[in-house]
Amino acid sequence: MEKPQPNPGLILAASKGDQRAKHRLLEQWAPVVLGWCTWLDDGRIDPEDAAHDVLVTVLTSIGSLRNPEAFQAWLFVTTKRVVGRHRRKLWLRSCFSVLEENEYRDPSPDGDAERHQARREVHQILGKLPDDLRQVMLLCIIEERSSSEAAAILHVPVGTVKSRLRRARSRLQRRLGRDKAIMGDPASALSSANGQE
Amino acid sequence: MSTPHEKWLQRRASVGAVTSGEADRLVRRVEATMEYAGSMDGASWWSRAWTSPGTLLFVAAHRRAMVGLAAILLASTLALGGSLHWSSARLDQFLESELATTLSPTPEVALLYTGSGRIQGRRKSPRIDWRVGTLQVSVQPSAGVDLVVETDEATVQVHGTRFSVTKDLLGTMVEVENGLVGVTCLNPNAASSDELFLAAGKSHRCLPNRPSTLLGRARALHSMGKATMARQAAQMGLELASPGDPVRGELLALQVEMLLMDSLTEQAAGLVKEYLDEGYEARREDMQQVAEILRQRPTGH
Repeated sequence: MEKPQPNPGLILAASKGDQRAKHRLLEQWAPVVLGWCTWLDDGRIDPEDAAHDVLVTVLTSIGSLRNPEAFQAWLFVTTKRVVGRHRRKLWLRSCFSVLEENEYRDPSPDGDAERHQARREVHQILGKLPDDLRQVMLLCIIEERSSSEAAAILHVPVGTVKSRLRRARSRLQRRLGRDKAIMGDPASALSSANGQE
Repeated sequence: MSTPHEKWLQRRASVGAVTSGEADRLVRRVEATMEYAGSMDGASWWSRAWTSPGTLLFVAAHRRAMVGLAAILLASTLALGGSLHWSSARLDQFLESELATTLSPTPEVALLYTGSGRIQGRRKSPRIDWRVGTLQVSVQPSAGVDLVVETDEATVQVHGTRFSVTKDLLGTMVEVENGLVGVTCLNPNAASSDELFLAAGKSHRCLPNRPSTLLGRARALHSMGKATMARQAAQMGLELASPGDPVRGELLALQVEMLLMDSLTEQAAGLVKEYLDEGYEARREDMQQVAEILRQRPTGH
């Protein structure tokens, strides 16, 4: 997925209430936010519902954003907060037995089995990680952002990102190396990954 | 530089990545919500959440639990206070009484008043527009109540206390019994329009800020027989009015009349001279006669 770069002029116009700028901003960032909502959870919340709430929050309160340069970090913080809220709501509903708490949602309603399987595998990896490592893995490994870019988004020092990344990598290695039941045949998985290089 | 494990994760994530169809559907959904929000004329998300189909289904599925919860809440509220007071409840009540009357518009505020005014605002931020008479206010300390009393001449800000505001013809008198009160006199000609903080036992009077208003009030007080207050109002008006202003001439004439009634001839003679020197015409003949009489009489009090 191509990552959009924050456009300060567009963000400033949107913050002043320009409807066309808001629409453009929505089109640009909806895929990014949907991706974040997909991978920041372990597959139990509905990512589209969460992304919808994030974008509505952002579009209605963008006037309060003082520094357009901080837009991406603000968007990420809002996404984290909304995903957390959806998780809590899910837990609350599970208390009333409306939904099984551990129920895995089908992320591909159009019935794409291959995509469904891929998401499930990634969720099984990310779902075992604490939130801070999951965020770094999403930004630095899945989205291939640099440590400094991730540090700016997460509002933490670059050194913190690097140490979290190191821990996340080591866990990923352990998980993929040992848990063959989840990954199916890791050898074929790894060889297919290598074939893409 | 990615390890093979990371490459595998990237590949699986890209297979399971968001499609353009999903993103388009999300964009349409957000646009629809924003349009709906725009047509709601400021209705809160909270109110819309309560009327959303999901919420209604949830409530319907657990109606017994909801009814039980509501009953428990109501019972505990009644047991605690006996009545419901919400911080957002709007206040709007006229205060009108010739006899001393007590009123507790909110649990944190008690009023004792004689006169007329109106209380508006919300429970945590009541505003009292006090027109005439005496109003005693008692506010529960540290209750987060931001109460303000406004008169023509002053704004009184409460800082958790008991105080009284007397609005009469001369002006507004604020007297503090307990705690601390901030008073701002609405007088642009005053040296400072900053908030004046009054501690317990202190008082402050805010006077009108226009010479014509003070002239009217001085005349009214004089006709009511309140000589001291009338002279105070006239003196205040004289300090504000510029030489040559006809209002100043009237104030001088009134002050002369009041001083003569109190046999303060020496002060009266000084003001008569000011009247004649500044060239006012309306009461010139009267003032010349007074000057003549004062010259013939021995000076004294």
